[in-house]
Amino acid sequence: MFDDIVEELEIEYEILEKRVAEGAVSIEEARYLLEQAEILRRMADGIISSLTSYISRYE
Amino acid sequence: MIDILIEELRLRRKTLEERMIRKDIDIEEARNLLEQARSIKRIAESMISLLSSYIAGREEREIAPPEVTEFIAEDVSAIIEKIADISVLELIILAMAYSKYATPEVKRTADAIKAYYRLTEEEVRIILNVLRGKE
Repeated sequence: MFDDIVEELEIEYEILEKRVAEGAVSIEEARYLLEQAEILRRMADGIISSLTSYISRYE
Repeated sequence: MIDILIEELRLRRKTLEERMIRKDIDIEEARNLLEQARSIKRIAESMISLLSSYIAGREEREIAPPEVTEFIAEDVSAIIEKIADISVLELIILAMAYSKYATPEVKRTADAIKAYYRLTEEEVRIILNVLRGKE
């Protein structure tokens, strides 16, 4: 269900890492991407929490 | 592109929650999805770390006086060329080697990383200062 998102994110990260190393990301874009990454982390945390309690109920 | 992935993740999370309410997910699938969600979190954290350091470095340079900026620019362009392919994990190990977390194993690994990327002590210190938001 999320495996393709993981793959896409890995690709996005590699591209971002190269652009950052080249200094090709403006500070405004970097701040915007940082906000996006924080949203991603919060969403992943929410999913982890839901699945963890689902699994513990299941077990 | 990340915003599209966030939107997609939001939709799939909704579907996942509906399926969990219906108990339509077996334990094996749930564990598999948990691993995938952890991977998403790890990548997001790597992005946060990368971007936070980058922003801190850029802000540091913006407030530096011109002569300092010129000096840093020369050093930094040489360093960037050397570490173009360095991974976040390798940077973390280098940072750990110069911290209170410097175990013998971390130091050995950091030495191997320095040798591989042909980094001098001074260059490593510049990299770490930038990552830590210091001059």
